[in-house]
Amino acid sequence: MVELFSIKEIPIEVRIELLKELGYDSDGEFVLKNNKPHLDRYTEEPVRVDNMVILPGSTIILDDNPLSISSYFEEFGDVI
Amino acid sequence: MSSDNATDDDLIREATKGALDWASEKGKSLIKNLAEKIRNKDLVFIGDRDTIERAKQQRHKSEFTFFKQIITNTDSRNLFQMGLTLRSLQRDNKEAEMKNLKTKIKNKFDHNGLHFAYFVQNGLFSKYLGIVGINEYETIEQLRACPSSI
Repeated sequence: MVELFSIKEIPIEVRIELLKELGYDSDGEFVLKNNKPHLDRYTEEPVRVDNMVILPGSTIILDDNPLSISSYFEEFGDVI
Repeated sequence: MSSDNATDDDLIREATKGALDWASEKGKSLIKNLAEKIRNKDLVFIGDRDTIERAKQQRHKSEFTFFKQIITNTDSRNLFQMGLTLRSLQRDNKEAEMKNLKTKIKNKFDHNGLHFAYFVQNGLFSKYLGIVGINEYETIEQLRACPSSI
């Protein structure tokens, strides 16, 4: 059973530590991967730390918007 | 407040209430555990719960269930769901969310994609299917093979 938690309840500095643990980083505003802005898999726009979600599937970090979330479900099914 | 027997769930809840020092050894250990759970697909961090629930609702609507039998193209399926989502946001008077979503649709799929989403949002797609005579096709396969009619 997958557990769902709201990232909004986690302080920004802790989100950044979590990102580092997952192989990402942040400049405090955007999620970074290899020192470059990490792009949302579906919208291809930079993901902001204050609006990110972390979903299963090789650790997918997306922007929290209907297009990205629906596209994720379309690719991976209703996994959450 | 935290005990040595506290589970990660307990610790997260404690932490979100400000009762856990994330810089402490216990906090650092929790972050490592959370990352491990995420990698194992046991834990998900969502943003707005409404976004998740609304996306799921559109996927289970009869219109989409029918549409996905005809169309296998992923972009078209996503656009169809965006049309249903726009309709849902409109019904709930979520103007800011609608505006934001329209921008994202246009950036990703250009104006043609946005127009298709409007076509679905307004319910015209379903009416159009009726007009083109869906009853002329014996099977879904025949309908699927005739994209010009959709």
